[in-house]
Amino acid sequence: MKAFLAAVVVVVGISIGASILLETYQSTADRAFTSSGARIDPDPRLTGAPKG
Amino acid sequence: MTLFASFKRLLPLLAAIALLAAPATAQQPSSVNPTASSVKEKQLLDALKPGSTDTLSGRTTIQDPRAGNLIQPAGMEFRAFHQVTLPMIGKYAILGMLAVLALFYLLRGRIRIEGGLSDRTIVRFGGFDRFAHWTTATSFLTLALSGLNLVFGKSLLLPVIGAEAFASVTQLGKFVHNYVSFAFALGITLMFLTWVKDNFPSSLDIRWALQGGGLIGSKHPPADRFNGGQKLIFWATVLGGIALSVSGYIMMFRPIEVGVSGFQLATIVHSVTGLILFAVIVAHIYIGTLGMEGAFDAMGRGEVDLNWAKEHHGLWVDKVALKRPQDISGGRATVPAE
Repeated sequence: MKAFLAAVVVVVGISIGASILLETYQSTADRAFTSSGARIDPDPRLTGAPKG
Repeated sequence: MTLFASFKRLLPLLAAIALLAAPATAQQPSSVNPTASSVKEKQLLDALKPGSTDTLSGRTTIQDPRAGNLIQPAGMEFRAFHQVTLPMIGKYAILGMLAVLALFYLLRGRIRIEGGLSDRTIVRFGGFDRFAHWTTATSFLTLALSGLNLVFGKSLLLPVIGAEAFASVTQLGKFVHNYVSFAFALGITLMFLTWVKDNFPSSLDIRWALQGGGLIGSKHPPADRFNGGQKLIFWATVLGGIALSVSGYIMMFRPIEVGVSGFQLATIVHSVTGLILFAVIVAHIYIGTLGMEGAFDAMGRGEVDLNWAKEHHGLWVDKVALKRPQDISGGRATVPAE
């Protein structure tokens, strides 16, 4: 039973860790596959307009 | 004027027309003009023929290079595979395995310990072995459920829970599938490193197979730590796990680099391997729980009844008795497994 519980804890822990790491790696499709000029909310460095 | 006379009068005119038309015929190029719109259409139609491996691609300012693909005719075959062939493979593999197991149970019943439960136990798997097993098992079942939803969810789950709930469940399942995969890869690696030395094929496995794993004849075939069937499960899990991990990580991390065809191939390998491995694991779960008395203790407590061990892994018991006699204990209160 201890081995089973330890395995469950490790699986959950690794999964949470993976979700945090992948958050930095992956981005949503609207950001990944568009240039900043095509976005509705473009990078302020390109427009010169203050954001917000 | 007769008809013949009229024709004679028209003959010079016809000859002149023929002469005028001749240079135009001679000017027809022997090669095809590649820029002619009709040629472009022919190329397009050729590329659209079923079985064509070409991809009609162009350029786009969208950063995803796949967006430049106008059409990939092979994608129609992939869609047919995904929507028709894959669910069919899954149905045959899983329902077929369940039918075989049900038939096996009806004919053979639960495999009992012939000598009955003894009051002695032997350590079958240590804590680390069981940790490796349960890490692989829990992660695989999570991956299997979220993966099966992608194959059968639309036809089985969607009509029951509705479109919105199904969309949420499927999206959550997709994320969980990605995140849990790393624990599965770890479990496969640990299992391989821990048990590979006891899973190399031997002549005992041939004898085990010839006796149908003990079904043919009155005696159990002799086996070391793992018998032929367990070795099959081990290699199916390890090799299947490697195929699943490699194809899965290609889909996760390298979808653009492998191209549309490569992504489709990875999907096919991943889904078919997953379905077959799931069917194999269903059999493994059956024989480890309902199908065989005393078998679950091996991964449950780590200790099995000595009579069970002698019947199924007699050679291994002899070795343990010589090398690690302390692993064999006596005097345990006998608790029936049922």
